[in-house]
Amino acid sequence: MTFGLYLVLMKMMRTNEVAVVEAGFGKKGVWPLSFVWEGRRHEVKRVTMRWEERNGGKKYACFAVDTGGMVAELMLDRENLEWRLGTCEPSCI
Amino acid sequence: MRTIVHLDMNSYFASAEQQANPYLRGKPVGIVKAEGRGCIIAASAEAKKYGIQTGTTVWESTRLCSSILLVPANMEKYFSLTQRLIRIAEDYSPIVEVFSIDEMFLDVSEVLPQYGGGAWEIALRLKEDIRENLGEWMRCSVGISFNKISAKLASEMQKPDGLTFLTTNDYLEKTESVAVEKVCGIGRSRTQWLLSRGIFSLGQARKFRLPAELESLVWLQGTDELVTGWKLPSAKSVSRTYTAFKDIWRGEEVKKLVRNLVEEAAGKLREMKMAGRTISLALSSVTGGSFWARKTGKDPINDPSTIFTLLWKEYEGRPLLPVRFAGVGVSNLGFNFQLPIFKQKQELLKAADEVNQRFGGFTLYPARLLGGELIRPEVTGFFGDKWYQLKIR
Repeated sequence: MTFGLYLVLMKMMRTNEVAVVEAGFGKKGVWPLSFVWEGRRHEVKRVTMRWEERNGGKKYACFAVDTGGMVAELMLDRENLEWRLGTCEPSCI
Repeated sequence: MRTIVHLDMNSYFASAEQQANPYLRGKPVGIVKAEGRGCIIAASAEAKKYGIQTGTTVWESTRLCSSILLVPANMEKYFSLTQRLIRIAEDYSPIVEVFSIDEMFLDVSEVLPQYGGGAWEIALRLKEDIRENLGEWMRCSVGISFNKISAKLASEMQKPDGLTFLTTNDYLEKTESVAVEKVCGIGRSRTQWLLSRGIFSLGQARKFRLPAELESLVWLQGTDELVTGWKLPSAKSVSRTYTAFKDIWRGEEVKKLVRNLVEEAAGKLREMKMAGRTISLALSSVTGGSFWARKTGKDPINDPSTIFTLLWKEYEGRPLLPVRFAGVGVSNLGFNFQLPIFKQKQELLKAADEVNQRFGGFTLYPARLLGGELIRPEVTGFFGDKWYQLKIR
């Protein structure tokens, strides 16, 4: 039973790959509008959380996003404006 | 008479993950340190209904709730949210004490006249601001009272999303039936002492003559002075501990473990610009065996290889195997010290620290730790020697 539950946990994929992201800029700062993953464009229905992280000496603005079918974490390197896809998991659990 | 507000985020880590992933909301969620680690470090409100709480093993939690969803912790995320929480709190009062990663006190005595609705208005606005800035799933319980102990108890009295006011006129009556262990300062051993005497509630406790420190706690007598960033006392000690998944039978592995913990503790000391004269090592096994050694030197040290050499020499005199738990500590701390190490070594440590601060802890580490899993520093809910990372004003 525990192994089965760990399988549910493991569905979350950690990618940390460079991502192509369409972003908006305004009074609230920057926010992702859509991103491309595995050849498909995913529209961001809502940004559910924002926070900051440090990784390898860099500071990232992080966004948890809901596309309707998937929940993903997008990270923006503020210095060189590079986006990365941190994790993604299907919305059905 | 001061007016103190205590803010306590509800099921903080779990709520943060439910905020980030809306499909976790309303479901029993348990936060684990890492995939495969054995204990729940935070449980959602839904999971708590099954009796799952911090410290419940993963095995036990699946027994209590077969549908529990386990999510690895992301401490940087929670830490980042706390920094935003502090900024929100500081909008309401310049006197903010960060009590833990998910709790803070605000002294609103001076700002009350600015709010027609008084402390109630401040509390309601705080809750609103938190929901707006951190997310609609991020709820908190707020307690308002005349001192810290009462304000903290007030926030405990209604969870989640509570708002409780204890005034000087009604606090004794309102807390009559509160369980003694709910009071901050009445920990496990004091609770056991009271329970063994048939005392379960504050009302019952107040009928007895108790030892002085217990007496002040059950009558909710305490300070109304907040400890703000610049008044925080320096750390008195730095320690690092680790419990292994299974018994460590090989001496070389124990050596690596101790060296890892020493590296982390010494790194923390140097980050705080401190050094210590007393070093200690504690080891234990599940079979009941234990080892403990402490040495106090004339000069303070924060060099990991010196600390390790001294502690390992003690261990070699009385080796213990197997080992399940290890703890390294440095105390008798101070600033402005003259270190008894060569300038070259000092410069090497400084360079290594700069690399690790820039690229992350343990980017550079001793060769002895090669070939095994590194135990890396992490933020936990209790700041301890990490409070300075918040950069509190």
